[in-house]
Amino acid sequence: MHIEILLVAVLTAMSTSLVGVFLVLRKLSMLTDAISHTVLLGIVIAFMFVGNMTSPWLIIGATLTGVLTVYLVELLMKTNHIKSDASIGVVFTFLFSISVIIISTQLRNVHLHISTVLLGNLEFVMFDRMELFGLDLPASLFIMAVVFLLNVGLLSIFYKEVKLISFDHALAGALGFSPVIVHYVMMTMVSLTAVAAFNAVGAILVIALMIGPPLTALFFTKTLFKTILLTMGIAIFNSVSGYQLSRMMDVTISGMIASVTLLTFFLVFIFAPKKGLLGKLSLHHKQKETLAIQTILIHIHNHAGDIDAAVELNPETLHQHLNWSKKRLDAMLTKAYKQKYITLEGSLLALTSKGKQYYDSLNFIK
Amino acid sequence: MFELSYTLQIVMLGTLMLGAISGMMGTFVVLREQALIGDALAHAALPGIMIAFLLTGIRDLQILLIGAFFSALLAMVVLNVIKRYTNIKFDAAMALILSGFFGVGQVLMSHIQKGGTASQAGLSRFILGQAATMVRRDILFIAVVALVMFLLMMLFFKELKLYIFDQNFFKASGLNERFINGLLTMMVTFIIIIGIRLVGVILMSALIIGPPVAARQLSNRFNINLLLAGVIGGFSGAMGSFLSATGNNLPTGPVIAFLLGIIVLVTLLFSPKNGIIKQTIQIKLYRHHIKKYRRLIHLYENPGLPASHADDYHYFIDHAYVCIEDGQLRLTDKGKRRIKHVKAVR
Amino acid sequence: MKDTFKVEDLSVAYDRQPVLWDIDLTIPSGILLGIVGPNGAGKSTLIKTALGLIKPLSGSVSFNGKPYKKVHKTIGYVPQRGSVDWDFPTTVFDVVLMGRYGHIGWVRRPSKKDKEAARLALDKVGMLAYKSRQISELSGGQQQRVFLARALIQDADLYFMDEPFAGVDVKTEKAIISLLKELKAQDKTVIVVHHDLNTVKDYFDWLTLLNIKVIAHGPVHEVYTKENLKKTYQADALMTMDGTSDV
Repeated sequence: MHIEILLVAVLTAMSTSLVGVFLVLRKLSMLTDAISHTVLLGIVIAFMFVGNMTSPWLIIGATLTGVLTVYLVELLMKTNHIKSDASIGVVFTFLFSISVIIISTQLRNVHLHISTVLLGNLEFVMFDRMELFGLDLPASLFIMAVVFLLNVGLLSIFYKEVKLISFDHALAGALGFSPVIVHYVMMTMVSLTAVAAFNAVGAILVIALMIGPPLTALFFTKTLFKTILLTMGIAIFNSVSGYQLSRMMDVTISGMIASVTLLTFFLVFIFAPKKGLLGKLSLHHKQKETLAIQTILIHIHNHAGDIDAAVELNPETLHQHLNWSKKRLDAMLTKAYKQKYITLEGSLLALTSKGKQYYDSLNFIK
Repeated sequence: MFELSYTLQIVMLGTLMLGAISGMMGTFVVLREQALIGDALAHAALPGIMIAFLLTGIRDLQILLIGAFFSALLAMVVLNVIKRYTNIKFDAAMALILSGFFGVGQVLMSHIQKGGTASQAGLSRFILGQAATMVRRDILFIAVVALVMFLLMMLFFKELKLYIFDQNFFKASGLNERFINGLLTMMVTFIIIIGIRLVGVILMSALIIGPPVAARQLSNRFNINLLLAGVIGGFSGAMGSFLSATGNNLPTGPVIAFLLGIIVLVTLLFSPKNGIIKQTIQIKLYRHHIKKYRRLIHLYENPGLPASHADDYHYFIDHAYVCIEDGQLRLTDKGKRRIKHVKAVR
Repeated sequence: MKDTFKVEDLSVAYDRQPVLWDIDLTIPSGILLGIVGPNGAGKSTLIKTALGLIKPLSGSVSFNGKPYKKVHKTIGYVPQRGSVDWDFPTTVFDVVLMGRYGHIGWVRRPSKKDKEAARLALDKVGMLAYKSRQISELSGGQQQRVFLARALIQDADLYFMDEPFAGVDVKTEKAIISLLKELKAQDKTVIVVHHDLNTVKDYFDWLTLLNIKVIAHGPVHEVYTKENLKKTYQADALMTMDGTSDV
């Protein structure tokens, strides 16, 4: 049943990128790197107590460790004035190393391979099944669906509050919405989502799934709601096309989805109309051009009627005075002729009335 | 005493050198507020390793590491382009590059090993490292890289230090920012690449970040920090491999990271300068004093309060901090000393 | 004139570094008050403590005798412009509407009335034409007008504004001050953190000179003296004047 794998992939992509929107907007992206690694410790400790890989206690334990990670990172920042990225690095490597040590010494004979947890395995999700309302479903599908609905539900109830706190922390506090509570509820959801996504995509790729779609969407959108909708759309596109490609090429599904996520980001980064790389470069080019034409107009205006006008306003020698190449000057002059800013009076350059108007509109004092 | 086997000596020497050089390098990186760059670059090395293997078909470590180097370098270039041309926050770009590149690497690996799942054993070696299988040739390689990095660090010490502390001043001094930035990036990348072999991708960050953070708690001086970070890194490296070899099936990378974590924790808690414990006690005491002597402070800042306020001050009058003179409340010498004391706690 | 805002024996410290020291202030209603002092004098901290965003070491803040939590709906706040991310995907109208959130309370959504209020406020600051713009497309002055509109729809009796004139154009500065004077004419109280000494006398009728301690507080013509200003802007911190050990 491949449709089941696809469904798990899509639901995972949607849940993770939904919380990702707020991580990106609140500049907490690298915190996911920490959370997604440290939840392993929660899983390991919970497992040592219950001795069962399918117990819901594992999810609870893992989620709590994720929240603990956030707390510890913030504690280090506050008490010892360690910068956020250094505290993230200190906390997550420490907790992660503890979990690896426990696994390799205490849980050697147990079905808990580090690589499975870190890398996930979409291909296998359908072997771990559960029965619900007479339906025989993969456990991951069920868990992902619950987490997705929980995320959507909480977000729609507290949309206003989440938006306010993400945008203006101080005002939120002043208006009586406790930023700390909302922050920790949010971080709990991030941890829960990361844990739920473990089976499918693992600790490392979940970061791309969380951060990639919102980063891509933000190139286009100007409201939060549209950002969320577009993020969901991109997440669906990435997971479906990633799935298809991986089947065609017979490679890992989760890796392919992460790769497609990176690819769509790059494409948008390069080609997005206004905020994209090409758009920015061409805008930059145009601005330079406008500036050059303005320089020519100013030069003509300043030297019109001067004693040395014959040299200064000669299109054949002007480039020396402006310190440009002849080629560049000719190109700019052509543009200026075309826009009817300048004309030739005899062999010398002069402003047209349109050119004079444009010159006057330039506000030099400012 | 212990008799160290030849293999263990090799491994300890390797991790000692790696720990020392990454600790020193980390001092620069952490001060530059790019602590997690190592994490991103290490993950981004995976596709390069796979491509190097696809192109050459050789499993030789050095060749694969060349691939890793270029892949990490590409990631760094991409990050810089994103930073320059968009408003995207650097940490978001880093997170995406880290994970996205890793995904590409995983795809390539599964393509190489065909059949999706068998690849994971090889991957976990990349993720967690495998110090225990080092041979003499690996050590030589690490030694050469570490030595070259160390020499570069000493050669450009003055420039690196200035660049880290004040980029604007650096530029204004007419020094080449691009060169020094490129040098830093290249050095970090090289060190990460050799580190992956030993402690793996994830815990490489511990070696870069842990030593400088611990060193920072012990000293305020940059040069001492650098030295301490090198010592702490080297010690954790060697000690970690020793412990992992004696323990039952302990993986080297995680033991080193754990050890570093403990060292960081201890320095954070007990540092005489600003350890958490000392700070917490002092802050509590300070708050307590301020609360207790609130009225006294008020009198000190507003001398000449009329005696009609005496009701508020009976505790202080009883304890001879305050007396009444000419119908005004006055601080006694004892009161003045008390205020001085309260202020001095900070 | 009744006292609307009262600060008693307030001390605030970050770690063990005092930021505000034994502050006592009584502020009557219906005035336009400027808080002026050098960098690090604790101006923003004073406002944030008043709004319950920072916990004081000692002392208290009250509004008509009540704590902030009881009266937060009657108090408006304009944070520093730089305290938010102007690349955030949201429109001018949305930002202004946030001013109503305190009145609306948890979970409930803005009503038609709230939206109408936002429109009116935007009109008042001359930004209605920009209402669907993304905030990243605004100039500094326009951003500040949006923040002001957001405070206006809080419909407060007392406003705290943190550097509303920082980095705005001359036209906007004039527009803002005339708006503040209008608020005052409606018997509202406006407390403004300010940094331009030249305009203090024109803008405000009361002045607080602050440098960790209150140097002077009262009507502008009494407080704005050479001596007081000199005391306020003295280079070295006042905390160390009696030779206590420095850090």
